Amino acid sequence: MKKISVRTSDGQEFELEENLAMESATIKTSLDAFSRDDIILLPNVNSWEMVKIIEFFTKVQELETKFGVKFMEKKEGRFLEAFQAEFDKDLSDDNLYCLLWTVDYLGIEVLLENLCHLMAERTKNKTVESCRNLFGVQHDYTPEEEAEIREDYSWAFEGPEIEE
Amino acid sequence: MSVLPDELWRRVFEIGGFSYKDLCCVSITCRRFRRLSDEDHLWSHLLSSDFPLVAPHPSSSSVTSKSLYKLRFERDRDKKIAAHQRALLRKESQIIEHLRKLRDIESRLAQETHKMRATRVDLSNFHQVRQASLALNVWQPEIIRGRQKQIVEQCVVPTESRLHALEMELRLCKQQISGLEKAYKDEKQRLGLAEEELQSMRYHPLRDHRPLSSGDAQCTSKSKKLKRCKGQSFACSCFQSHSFLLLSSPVKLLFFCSFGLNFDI
Repeated sequence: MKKISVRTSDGQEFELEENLAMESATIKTSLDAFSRDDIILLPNVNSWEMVKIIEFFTKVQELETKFGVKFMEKKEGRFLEAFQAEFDKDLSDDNLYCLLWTVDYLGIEVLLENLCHLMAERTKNKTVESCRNLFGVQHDYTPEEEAEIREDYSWAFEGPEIEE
Repeated sequence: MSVLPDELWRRVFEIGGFSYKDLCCVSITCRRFRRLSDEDHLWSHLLSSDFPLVAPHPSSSSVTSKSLYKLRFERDRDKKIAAHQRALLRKESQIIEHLRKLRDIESRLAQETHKMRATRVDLSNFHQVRQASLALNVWQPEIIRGRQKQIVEQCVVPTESRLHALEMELRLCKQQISGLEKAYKDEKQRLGLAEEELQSMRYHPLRDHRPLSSGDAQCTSKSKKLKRCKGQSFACSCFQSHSFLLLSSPVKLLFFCSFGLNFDI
């Protein structure tokens, strides 16, 4: 199996198996345009992100061997929850964002879907304030808009609700 | 963080399996997320998953899926609240019925007890008469004899048969009383059960049982808390006397509050 070399933003080089490298639409485009022997430069990707991506691929391959299901080929959206949980626990919110961005850039559909799912899980069942912290946004409503929102959304909340 | 492009966020919301509450929360965070989470396809998905059995709304382009969802949600919730209140009312009238029966039994008990006492008095009088007439058969000092004759002569009805009747009556009274006491106990038990059931129907684990400390003045500023109550079953302590009001809007809650009524919020 041919190996493809990539170089991340901090100069580190990684080797990927060709079929896995092709999962990334971006890398695939590069490979199609250039020789397979060239090192592909990924200035937008950090090495820790690359490590995570490789970890993902490795895990998927393990699962495919174990369960005999070609997750990648079937473009199976979400994997086993145990795997997801494991992937989740090392990722801080910030790292998840970075990884999401990178994976989106690289165009790795399967991983992207899983990461979106992870992000969604982190967003659910939270208070408004926690969501704001998670998204890194500020309250930007005018007082009129705020009053409108209270009126608009009062139907949805029974328990501890919109703060402020 | 928020540097993630809109398309990615859209994807997160689509994939995420968010509930209506989650989407609303996200919507409240800021303008951008309000726009992102308000998208029609997200809400129409929720509509079809949460209210699958409801007939589809005659489509009109001005009605967004989100507002439709809200409508169905409120109807559903209002239905549930109404059903719960009806159940509460039924339970309460059941309790009233029990209380009425208890009062009824109490009054009958009082009557029988009174009757029993009267019968006892009668009985003891007649016993006296009988004793007197028996005593007349033996020798007695003249004074005593005289008195006994008086007692016997004053009694105009046949002693023995009257005594017999009175004793029967007394037995009957006692029987009645015992029966009534048992009935009272049973009814009391049923009342207790019904009251317990009412109590558990009213119980809401999220509600704070602090009574409003300074009543009226704080009410309008507590409109948030009132809105919190909006979706809950309204078993406030004033319910019994105002049970005809269906509390399904914040306006009515404010109305209540302004009268400084004790409220379980």
